[in-house]
This record gives sequence, C-alpha cells and structure tokens, in this order.
Amino acid sequence: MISVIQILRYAVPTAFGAIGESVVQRAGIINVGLEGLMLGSAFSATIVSSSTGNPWLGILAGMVSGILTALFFGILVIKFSLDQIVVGTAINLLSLGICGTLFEKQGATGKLMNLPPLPKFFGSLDVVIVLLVLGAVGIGFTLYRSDFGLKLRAVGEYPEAVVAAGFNPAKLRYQALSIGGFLGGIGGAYLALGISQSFTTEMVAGRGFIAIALVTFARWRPIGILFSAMMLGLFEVLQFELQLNGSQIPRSLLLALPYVATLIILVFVGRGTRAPQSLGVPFKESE
Amino acid sequence: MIFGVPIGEGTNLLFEGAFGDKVAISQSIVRATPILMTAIGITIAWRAGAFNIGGEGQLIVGALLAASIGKFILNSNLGFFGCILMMAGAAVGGAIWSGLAAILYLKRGVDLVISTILLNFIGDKLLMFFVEGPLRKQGQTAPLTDQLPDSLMLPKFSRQSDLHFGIFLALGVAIAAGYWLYRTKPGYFARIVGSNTGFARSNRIDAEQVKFRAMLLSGAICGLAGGIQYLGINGQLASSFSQQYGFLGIPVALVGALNPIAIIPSALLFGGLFAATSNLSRFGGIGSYFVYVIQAATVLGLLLFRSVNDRRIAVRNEG
Amino acid sequence: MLSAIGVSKMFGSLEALKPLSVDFLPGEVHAVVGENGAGKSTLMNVLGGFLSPSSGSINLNGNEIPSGDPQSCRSLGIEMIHQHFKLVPAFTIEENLRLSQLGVGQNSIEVIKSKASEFGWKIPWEACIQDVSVGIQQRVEILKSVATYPSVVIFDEPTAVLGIEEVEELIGFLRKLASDDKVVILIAHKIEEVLAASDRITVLRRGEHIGTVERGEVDSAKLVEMMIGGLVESLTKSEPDQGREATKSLEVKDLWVQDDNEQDVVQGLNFRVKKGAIVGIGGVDGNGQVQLAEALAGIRKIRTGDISLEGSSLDWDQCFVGYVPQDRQSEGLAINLNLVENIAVSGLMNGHYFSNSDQYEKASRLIEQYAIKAKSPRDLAKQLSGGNQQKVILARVLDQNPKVLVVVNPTRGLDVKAAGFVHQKLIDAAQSGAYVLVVTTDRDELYAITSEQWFMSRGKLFADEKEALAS
Repeated sequence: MISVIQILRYAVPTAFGAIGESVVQRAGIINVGLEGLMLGSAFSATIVSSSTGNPWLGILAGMVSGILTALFFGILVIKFSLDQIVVGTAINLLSLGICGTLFEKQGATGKLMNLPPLPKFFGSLDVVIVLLVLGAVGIGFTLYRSDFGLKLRAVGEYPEAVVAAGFNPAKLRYQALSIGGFLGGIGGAYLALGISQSFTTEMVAGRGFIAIALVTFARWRPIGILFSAMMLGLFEVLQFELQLNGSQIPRSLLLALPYVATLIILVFVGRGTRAPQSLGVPFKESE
Repeated sequence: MIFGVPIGEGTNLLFEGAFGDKVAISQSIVRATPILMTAIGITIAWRAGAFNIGGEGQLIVGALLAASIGKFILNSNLGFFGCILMMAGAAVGGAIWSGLAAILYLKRGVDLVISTILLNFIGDKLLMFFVEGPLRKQGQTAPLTDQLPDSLMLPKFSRQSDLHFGIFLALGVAIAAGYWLYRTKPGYFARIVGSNTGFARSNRIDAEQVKFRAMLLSGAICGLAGGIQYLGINGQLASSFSQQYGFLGIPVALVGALNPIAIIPSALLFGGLFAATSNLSRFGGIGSYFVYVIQAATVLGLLLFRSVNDRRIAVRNEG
Repeated sequence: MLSAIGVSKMFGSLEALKPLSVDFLPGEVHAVVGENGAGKSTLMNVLGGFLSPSSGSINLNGNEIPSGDPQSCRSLGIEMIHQHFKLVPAFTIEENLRLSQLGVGQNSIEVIKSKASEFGWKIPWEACIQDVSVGIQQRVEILKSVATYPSVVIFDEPTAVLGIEEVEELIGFLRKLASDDKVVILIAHKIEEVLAASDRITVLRRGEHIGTVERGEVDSAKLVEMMIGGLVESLTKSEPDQGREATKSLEVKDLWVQDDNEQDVVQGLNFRVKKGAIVGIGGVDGNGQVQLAEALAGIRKIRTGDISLEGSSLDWDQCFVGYVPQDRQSEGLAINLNLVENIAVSGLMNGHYFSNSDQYEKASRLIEQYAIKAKSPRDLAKQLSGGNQQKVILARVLDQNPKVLVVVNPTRGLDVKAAGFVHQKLIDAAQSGAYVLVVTTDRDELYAITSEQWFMSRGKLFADEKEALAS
C-alpha cells in the first residue's frame, strides 16, 4: 500500500524547488534555471557524499551549490539586467554541461552509484521530509506575516515603493534568490541521496519546470505548493507501484503522467491567477 | 586547463576536428543542420514575443509523424516523392505540437515557456511509446522503427560521408526566414508584436493572432528539422533519436542575435564544435557535454557584452 | 528654513539647472513653476536629497543636508509627496503604511490614523490601493509623510490627477500645512492653481532661475511671460462647417464599452462630432475617456451601441481612423525600432510586401515635412525627444488623411512650442474636413482648441464641468 510518507518522499525535490521558487517569484524574479540548479546540487551532493561517506555533508554541499547558482543567476539578471528567461535557459545548459562533463570524467566507477543513504526513523521517515513540512509552514509565515516578507512582496509588486521606504530592492532580491537557491539545493541533493541513491544527468527530469508550474497553480502559497507537490508525488509512486505489479500500461505512458498532469492543472487554472506585478521586470535604479 | 584539457592544445584539436579536413567539414555540416533549423524555428517565435522553448518536442513529434507515414509507404515505390511527403508530415507534426501549446496560451492563458517545456518531456515519452509499440519494427526486440530504404531518404553527397541534401533545405529555410522577418508584412508585424504589444494594439494588429501564427510556423520548422534528421541520417527512430537538437537551437539562436542570417555561421560554429569533440576524447570523458559549457558561456558572454555596450552608448547619448 | 545656495546640476554635458539660490521659508506655500523641461523636477529632487547637486548645497536651518541620501533627509524632516505615488497597488492601504514605516516603528500607524481624522479624511484602511480613487491614494501618500512630523513638505505636481473640487481641497490642505509653520514647496505648472495656492513663486525657464516673486506682485499674464519668455499666440479655433456639409457628422449612439476588468466604463454615451469642428472630452482621468477613445479607434470592442460616420456604420477595415494614444512610448511607438519601421505601420494594411526603399522614402519625406529633429530615418524611436516622438506619431497618422482622428492627451509632457505645433496640425486636419475628437485631462488645452466640450464622469457625459464632478 502507498503511505503518506512515501508520497512525501517523492514530493520532496519538487516541493523544495517550488517553495524556493515561490519566494524568488514573490520578489519579482522568474528563475527557469531551477532545473539546472537542482541538477548542480544533486551532483555536488553526490560527489561530496561519496567521497566523504557522509550523507549530511552531501546535503550541505547541495545547499551551498544551490545558493551559489542562484546568486550567479542573480548577478546576471539584477546587476546586468539580462533577460531572465534567457539566462535561466543558459544556466540549465551550463549546469548540464558542467555536471555532465565532470560526471563522465569520473567514469562509471560504480562509486557514484551507491551513495550513503540518509538515516531513517519511524520506518521511512527522514529528517529532510520533516524539514519540508516545517519549511512549508515557516516560509509561508515568513512571506505573508513577517516584515521581511512584506518588503519582499513589495519588491515583486512595485519596487519603487520599496525604494521610497528606504530599502534596497536589489539587496532584497539577492536575499530572495539565496533562499530559493538554498531550498532548491536541498531538493536537488535529496533527489540524489534520498530517492535514487545515485546520479545520472537526466535525473532531475523536468522537476524544476514542474516546480515553476506548481508555484503558479498554488498561487505562491507554500502550503498549497506542498499539497500540489504531494499530488504529483502520488503519481510518481503510482508509476512505480504499477510497474512493480506488472501492469499492462506501457512504461512510456506512466512516465509521461507527471508532465501531463502538470499541464492539465495549468489548463485548469488558466488566466485566473494574479502574479506579482513586477514579475520578470528588471528594476532600473535610475528613476 | 579547463576540466583537465589544456587550453591551447584543446583549441587546436577542436579546430582540426571541426574544419581540419573534408571529413571533418562534412561532419560539422551534418551536425549543424538540425540545430540550424531549430534555431530558425525558435527565432521566428521569439521575435514575435512567443517564448517557444519546445523545439525539442516539436522536432520529435515531427520525426514521429514522418516515421508514421514512412511505415505506410515503406514498400511502395514513391521514391523522392515519398521523401517529400514525409517531410511535409514532419512539418505538420511539429506545427501540431507547437499549436497545442499556442492554443492553451490563447484560450487559457497558459504560459508558453512552461507549456512548451512540459510538451518536450511529453513528446519524448510519446516517441518512446510509439517506438516500443505501434511503430516497432516487426519481429524486433529492440525498440526501433523500420529502416527506410535509401530511395525514400534524402540523397547523400557521396557514399563515404554522412553529408546529405538536408543542409540545402536548412540553408534555404534560414534565408527564407530572414526574408520573411525583414521584407514581408507578416514578418514586420511579428517584429512589432514582439517588441511592443501596446504599439501593435494601437495599430489594430491582433497580437495574439500574430503570436499564434508565429508559433505554428516555428513548430513546423522545428518539426521539419526532425524530419530532415530522420530522412537524412537515421532512417530509423529509436527513443534516443534526439540529441537535444531542439534545446540546442536556443543558444545557437541567441548567439546569432535572433537574426536568421547571423544564425547560419552560429550553427556552423557549434556544429563544428560538436563534431570535433571526439578529438578531445583522449583527455578522458570530454564529450558533447563540454560543448554545452562552451555554448552556455558564449551565450552569457555575448549577452553581457551587448548589455554593457548598450549601457555605454546610452550614457554617451544622455550626456 | 530650507535654502538652496548656488545649486546647479549637470547631467553629463546637459545643464539641467544653472546655479541658483532660493530660500524657502516656513509658514508659507512657495511654488516653483516652469514649463516642462524647465528644471523643476531636477530642483525638487535635489531639495529632497534624491540627487546631489553638481555645485552648491542645500541647507536646512543652516546645516548642509547629505546629498544623494533621501533616507537621511527624511530623518532630518524633509518629506516629498511624489507625483507618481510610491504605493503598492496590490497591497492594502494599511500594508502600504506598514511598509513605509518599517524603519520607524509600528506605533506610527496609530499616529497616522489620528492625523487622518485630524484632517477630516475618511480612509478605507483595509482596501487595496488599486481599488481606491486617485484622490484617496494621494491622501495616503501624504499621510505616509506627515507621520514623521516633517518640517519641510515638497509636493510634486499634486494636482495633475485631481478634479476641480479635489484641487480646491488640496489647496486648502497646503495652506493648513503652511499655517502649522512648515515649509511647503509646491512644484507645478498650472498657473491658476499656483496663483490660488501660493504666497511666493519661483519661476524657472530652461534651467535658469528667472526670479522669485510675491504672489501679490504678479498676475496670470506676467507669470506666463516669465515662464516662456514671451507671449502665447492664440490659435484660431476650428469652427464647424456652415455650408453644405453641415449635416454630415460622426455620431455615437447609446455606446457601452467595458474596460479590461469587464466593468462598464462607458455608459450609454450619445454625442456627435460635426465635420470641421473639434470636439473635446475632458474630465478627471479614469472615467472611461481612454476606453471611449479606444472604442472609436477600433481597438476596443464595443459592448453595445452604434458608431456611424456620415450615415453608415463605421467600418475600421474600410475607413482609416487615425489614433494618437495617450502613452507615446509604450503605445504610440515601437520604441526599439527605427523611424522607418515606426512610420511604415499605417498604410501597410493592404499588400504583402514591405518595400524598404519605399518606406525609407516615405519616412524621409515625413521627417522633413514635420520638422522632426532626427539624424536619419534609421534613428531609433527611443533616441528622439518627447516632442519629436509625438511628431512622428502625428506624421504617421496624418499622412493617411484620416477621415476620423481620435487623439488622447496629445501634448502631455511637451513644451509650448511643440504643443503649439501639434494643436495647429489638429486644427488644420479639422479644417480639411476630418472629424476630430480630442480626449484630454488638460483643461487649458481643452478650451484652447475645441469648439465643443464635454466632461466625462463615471462613464457618462456632462456638458457642465462642475456637474460632472458632482456626480
């Protein structure tokens, strides 16, 4: 039977990625490079955990990698005001290139195929899953009830008001990106250490993009994001269960399920959502 | 040294591998062909303000439709006509795939970036489905479609090389796209819609219709790219048919500044780089992934350069 | 007392402000006036600490204020009420106040609320900014500033967005602030308002300080003369054709138009534009005028109603309606394309080809005809000044000899000369038999060139301005 914990487990990478992205988007930036960010974090986690034998260091490496990637993205789109979609796409390519090259250089030594697992308790529960639930609540609170969240959301809606209030929109955006990178990094690391115990260059398999879709669907609310991610996690679990039980449904269609489901929920949501007003618009300092 | 490759020696090897001799050049052109076409396809959409990231899916579905037609005409005597039929099918397939995203955008406001990316993954799985199922070669255990006979494929330059006539088609499409964009009314409208929707609206230009048509055209070209690859090289589809040609069209297009004529050398450059990577294999594990890094770095570098340059000009003008 | 001492400002090689010295005293309303481009906003930004002067300094009670640091200036008691409100549309009023007071302390929200009752203002604290009227938005903007008990309050073109009654209330508020012994600085360019509100007036022209006078010393004509350095030519208004064509008209019957949120913003309008006359539609911005113009231009769907030209229904595919939109940079021009491409758009309706040489020729001809200051037709639209950009739009539209011409705020942001040019072109068009409708929030312009005026309020037309505002 399928347990809630199992569903949560499969939801972790997408959920962390999406919650991180919701913070970033509320600050007015759209990061389509999330996919590449998660891949980079998964790879960092893989390298560090397999060479140290310690999965926690792997998670930490994933976090750091995520933050660095996000800040790199940030410098390009904030300081240089480059187009966010284009830079995000370039980062996906760059990340794939770097991870792929380094991975191939390692050779299929087999060492990267069996990563040290995360310690579990109460069956299949682990610390990261708990962190996810706490994180969803915490980030939700921060975004919508704290002063910091107010400033952040103001930057995403109307940065001029933030300047008038005496704060720096660019600094706030970098902070948002750091949070997004941190969370996305955990998600990517967990993909390698908590779900597949290995690394391949295709492992992120679009979760970064699905995460972005979930942000819109759940209207930038972390708790809603968590539940939507769980819904998709359910599909992933179903996929495995059906395959294991020798189902007649072709593997390819099962694999397509999460993407089709995401597309359907996007159609369902339609135009109704109100995105942060300044989403995707670079803020020009000279006003 | 980058990734264990000495820069000087590495660059020489790359250059040799890309343009060193006749074999190298023909390989470069072969590699450049599909990415040239997808880059053009992407450019047409992007110039109209429709961020089509779905070149990959459109290419795959195009090839898929061509292969489906191929299965039917496998043993007929259609020859070159059959080839043309399949290419038309490829274009239609790609247009359907991009059209799907375009309709979702038009009717339900679904963002094109996300929908086209999702459709990439779905298209890939669709290929897997067909190759393992309905289109699988009779009696095969491996998931492959029937191999097309030479008569139905695109003519090659010579028996020894892979170089095929698809390159002419790709070049033709590139030039036609340039003409379309800068010398025809629909292309002009596309550019207006892409740069300023308010202006388009004030002049009674229906921006949504223009974007929709641009998406269809874009998908058709990317689908055709898939068809050309199928009919020029493979003749047979496996689930690993596409080597990211659709996605790679994006950096090629960006390096070409979204100008069809400039994209031609951009595609040749990167085609050459891909062809040359085998020369670097002695450094252990350096393959196509390395070229991705070069591509991404080139795109970002160029964007940075243009941005800094624009700022310098703006400051000069204001002062 | 706030003093500007030898203050000048250069932007690169452009001299925005020549060295000037002015004292702003407490207890009076001191207006700074000038034409668009005279340097008012530059001076204001320097006074508020947003810009550092290229030379000279700003002193508050004898102490120099830190330049380029608006936060410190705020803490010194210098507050600015911006023309473009720094309010987040999607936030509630309360959230906006919270944001602005974040550095200051939460109990200041209570101070603000009590100040609001002190002024006699009723503010819906829980409503979102985007849902409240501009007048209320301005009050919120003002409240944000007064909570810190400033000693200097600078108002940047506050009346641009207000209707007559709101302007009167605002002027009353300015005087009240002054009577509280504050330094009140008013940046404006509307003569009547300035004369009604201020005690002293500083006039700027092309960056130069022309003079500072007491209110009692000047009248409207003298002020205008100081502002533009000469007298204004009055234009001959265009009158309706009295002859044979007198019965021809553009008629609007029972017109209903919705805005982007599917609200009825034009409600059953009826009016007529006679051939040869210019009809003006005024009123406070945001009452449906723009949507009316868009409907007439054929770019917004009509919910119901009838628009007919000389007896038959107006068909935009057959009959070219010239449209000059309100925002020249985002709607009137393709700002990143060149002039050839900007001008080509009208007149391309038939045919498939885009002949570069033909379009280039056309652009060159129009540049000369309209005296547009550009180095070549290949210049990008964004490189031109506001006045020249407006000329490009006019040229493109008028070259088609449109039978119907709909223009919105055609001289916004233009200096007197450019505005005069535009007005003359509109009058000429009317005299050659076009039906011209001018939608404008500028009352001076409205009365200057139109022979018939209507005022729009909440989607309906009124012949009387006060009546419109009362509704």
